[in-house]
Amino acid sequence: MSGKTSAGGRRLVTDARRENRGRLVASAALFSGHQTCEALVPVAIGVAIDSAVVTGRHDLLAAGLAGLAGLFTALILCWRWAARLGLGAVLDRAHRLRRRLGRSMLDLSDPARTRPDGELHSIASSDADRAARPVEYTSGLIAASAAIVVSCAILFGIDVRLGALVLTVAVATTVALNLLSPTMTRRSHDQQHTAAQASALAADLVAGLRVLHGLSARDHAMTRYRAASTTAAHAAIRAGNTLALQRAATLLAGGLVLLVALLAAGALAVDGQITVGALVAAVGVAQFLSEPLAMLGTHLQFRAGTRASAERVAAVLAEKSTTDGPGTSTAAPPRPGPLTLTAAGTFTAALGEFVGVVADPADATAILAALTPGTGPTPFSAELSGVRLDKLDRDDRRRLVHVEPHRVDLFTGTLHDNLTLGAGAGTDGLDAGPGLDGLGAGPGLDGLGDALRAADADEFVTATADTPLRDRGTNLSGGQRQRLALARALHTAPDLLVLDRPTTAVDSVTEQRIADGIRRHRHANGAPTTTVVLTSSPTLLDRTDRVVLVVAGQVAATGRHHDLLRTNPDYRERVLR
Amino acid sequence: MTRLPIADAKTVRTGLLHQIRRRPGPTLTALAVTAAAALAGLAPARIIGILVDRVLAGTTYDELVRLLIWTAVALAAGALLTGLAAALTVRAGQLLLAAVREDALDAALHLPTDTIEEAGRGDLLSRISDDVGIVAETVTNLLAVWVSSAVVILLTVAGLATLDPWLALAGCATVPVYVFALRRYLPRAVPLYAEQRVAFADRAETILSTLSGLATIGTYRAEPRFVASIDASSERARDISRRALWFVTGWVKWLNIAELVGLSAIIATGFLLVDAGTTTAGAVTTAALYFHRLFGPLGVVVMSVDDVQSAIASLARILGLGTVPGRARQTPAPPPAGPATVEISGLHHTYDANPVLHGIDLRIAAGERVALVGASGAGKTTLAGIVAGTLTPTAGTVDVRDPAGQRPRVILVAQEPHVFAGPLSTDLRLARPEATDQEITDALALVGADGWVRQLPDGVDTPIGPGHTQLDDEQRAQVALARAHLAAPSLVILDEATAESGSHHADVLERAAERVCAGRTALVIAHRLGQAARADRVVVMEHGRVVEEGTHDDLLARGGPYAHLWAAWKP
Repeated sequence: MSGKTSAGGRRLVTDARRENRGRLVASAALFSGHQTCEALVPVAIGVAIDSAVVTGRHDLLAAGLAGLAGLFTALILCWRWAARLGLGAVLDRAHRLRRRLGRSMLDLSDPARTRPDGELHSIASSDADRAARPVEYTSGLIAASAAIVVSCAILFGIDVRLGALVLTVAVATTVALNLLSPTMTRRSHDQQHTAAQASALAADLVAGLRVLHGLSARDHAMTRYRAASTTAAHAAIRAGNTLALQRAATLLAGGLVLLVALLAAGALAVDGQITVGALVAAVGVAQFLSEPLAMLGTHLQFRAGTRASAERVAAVLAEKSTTDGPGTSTAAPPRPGPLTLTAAGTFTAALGEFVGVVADPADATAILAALTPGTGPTPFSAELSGVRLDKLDRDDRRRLVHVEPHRVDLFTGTLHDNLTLGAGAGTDGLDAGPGLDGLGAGPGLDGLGDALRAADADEFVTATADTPLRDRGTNLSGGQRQRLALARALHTAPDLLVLDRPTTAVDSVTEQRIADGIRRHRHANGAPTTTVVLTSSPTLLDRTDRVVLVVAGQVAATGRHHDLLRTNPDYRERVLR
Repeated sequence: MTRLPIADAKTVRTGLLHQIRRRPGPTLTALAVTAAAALAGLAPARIIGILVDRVLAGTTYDELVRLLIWTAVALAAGALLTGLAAALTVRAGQLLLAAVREDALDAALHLPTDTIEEAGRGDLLSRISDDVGIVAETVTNLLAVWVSSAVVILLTVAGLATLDPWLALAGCATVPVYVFALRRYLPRAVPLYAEQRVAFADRAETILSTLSGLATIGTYRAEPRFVASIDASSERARDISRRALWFVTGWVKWLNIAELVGLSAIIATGFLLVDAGTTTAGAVTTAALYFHRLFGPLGVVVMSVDDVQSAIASLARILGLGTVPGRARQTPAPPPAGPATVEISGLHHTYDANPVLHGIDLRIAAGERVALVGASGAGKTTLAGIVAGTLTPTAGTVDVRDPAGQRPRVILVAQEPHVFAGPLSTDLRLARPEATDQEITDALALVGADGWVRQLPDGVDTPIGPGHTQLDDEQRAQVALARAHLAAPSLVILDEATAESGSHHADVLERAAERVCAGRTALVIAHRLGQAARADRVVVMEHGRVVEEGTHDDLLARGGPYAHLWAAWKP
């Protein structure tokens, strides 16, 4: 991120400060107060020794100790509220950024997103935290500067030459250290990255334990892991060496400043130009000076890190969905009606019809892309009641056409939460609020019974609907997950439902029950709901009203399943198993 | 559900001591150098004290210069030794950590499979990744500082005692305050930080599950619900972080109070001692500076007590893996000696008190291909697991023998097979470490994967997995089949290896599966009955029992359950 800053990233940084101006000012003032108190501690020790211990006066001892106590009280209170105000503002800011990021990520629902999930997650967690830090480092930089000014004032107060000498050496060594440190930090980061890879390998090996067991490959895997673990250990040792070197350099720099202060203050004391107390104070301040100087370096690094993170956060916030922004809608939402797909040739699913589509994978993908505009290029175009879907507002289109993805996503929460996913959006046709009708197959399944039975999922979803799903349902079998997704789609009761290979993970008897279930649930008594199913399963196709065969982007044939089986060898080859 | 055990304090102690004793050198050197560094660090304050006394008594520049030369030597030695000590401590700690994590993974890989199935993979995975990570972070970031702080504190107290025992005693006035502070801290901070970690994990899970389910969320227009749940989880994490911040910032005063108490005690005691003429103002200065120097290390030790505690808790979970009784033995598979025979008799199995298999008897002849069919939940996968040896049956026996009379290699290709991260060839060589490039290419060609593998950027050496090339379901299934072929088993078990894909891909996978089964005894769990029709024999299961077996034609003619299934399959 060297030098390249965008307006968005910069605005996030200034916004963070503006949003919390009051807390920033108060925190900076208190933090400066704390640093001043810290600088005064060695001075107070020197004064107490000088005035009381050397002279032997009890009243001065009492006064010295009381002064020390007062100093510590101020120090405690300043730090407490500096941290609460400053870091509290950072926590609030990070939370607000995460809320905005959450909205932004959900806005980009189209799968054409370029960023992997892991990257988005790390932007929403660690980058949001870092991007929220302007208040923290700004108040830190102000406080460090204040502490340096106070230390200098003390040293100059003792002796101008002493102050000038110590300050010059302190600044020079700090600058030298700061020039060195980014290189070292980068080196240690690279090495820590290598170390992290060993743990990823271990996790992967455990995840594939069954395979290792089956292959009797555990010893072989262990050999691989030992090698990775050793590499990681050596990388970590090298990283440790870098840090140790950095530590030694810091100590050496501090020692140099101390030595110069001792030399100058000692010479002045030997000459009798300053008191013993002043000597102790000067040495103490010289020792302390390294703290605010180091703090300056740390907070400058914070600032660099914050800028890089703010850039990443701003980039996600600036991303707009390519197809679905408001204003792309040029058509008023149509009433439910026939669905027409056009490429080379046209086919139409009439209102209330149950249509099967048999297509090769490439054509199937293209048809789905036409039904969910924005997910990819497609030669097909889809119209509902004569209105092109890609001219519709995203919300209208999704309300009218429900395309259930083939890949089943289940979510953290109860089974009931998962099955009523569409309930929040105010579905037409069926009010899916829980507890409204008593058709449940078990407790907590209000209203879901029909959909579960139609998807043949009532057998394994019984009284367990209110128990949380473990590991997002990954412990369920593929067939069970597929049936849950189907039940969820059926329960949403959309006017137009598109299913993509809904029965690939179930056995043939179950498939038959599901085919009957879909027919019964959506097409009993001439219901005006339309269902389109992309499949090559003859069981499912047998229950449809009509089948469309799409070959190489063309509608090759339409007709009833049995008729096509008899008359169309292309069709027979594709569906017979 | 049974849980994996956690090691008790004694096991943790002996476990660590055992590791240190295996390689004592690094640990002992690190401790010795740390002590030397701490000693060198005491010198400057001592010299300043002497300087104070000499200044009070009237001194010369020569003496000042001599003292400063000693200071310079001590400072340089202190800095270099501290750096060296830090490096040596990290080295000792990392070597120890490597030994601990390797033993842990070794124990994890050799856990009896039943134990893992019962305890769940999550617990094991979190021990191998999260707990090892926590210990590693502590070793990397804290160990060197902690060890050197502890040594500095000990030696400083000793240094105070050499100045004047009363001054040392005065410094110790601070101990009760620290004890009090820790007593207030630990009972509140530990649960607070634990709660914070849970809140962070919950937030991460909410964000990740939302991201991976975006397509579905969009379909159901459920965005408001997920926006709300991200907001809520972020707010919970923020609130608890704020509570932790308020607590820590309120509590830290005790550290400052402890410093004040110790400093005041040393100055007051020094006052009395100087008054009584038993010590000098210089010694008091030294003592006060010694003590001021301790603020940092004492703060580090006290503030990191909970980190160290949580690292110890993680260590107990890691070492607990080694205490599981019954280590799964890995007997090297005998050289391939031809197709195996399988003899299953009186097999019963029960999961969580639910019976899944009731008295299965089945014989599979050498080289025979048996298709196992039946509705979901009939117990097919359980039976496959038992035959493969990954599950121990509740009752009954499974006898698998090759023509040489030995227990041969049995390979199970599971539903949703795992493909290991890393180069594809490394994954395949798990099955046969000595496989040549040609053998690997041949195996991939056999399962029809040669086409897409050739198009990968680095062919078979292309890294697979998160952050690299991702494979789709069909490709993963092909890799699993190629791996099975390379392993040259005498018995292959395929569990719906071809289920999850449309008909087009299913054909490719079915042909691949048949080629892998050729010349071997095979048990194939088939949802796609085409596979059953081409098998030598079909076994139909219902509710944990074998209800029918015979050739495809026989069973069709019989008009029983299989004929019913077939009618559903081919309407």
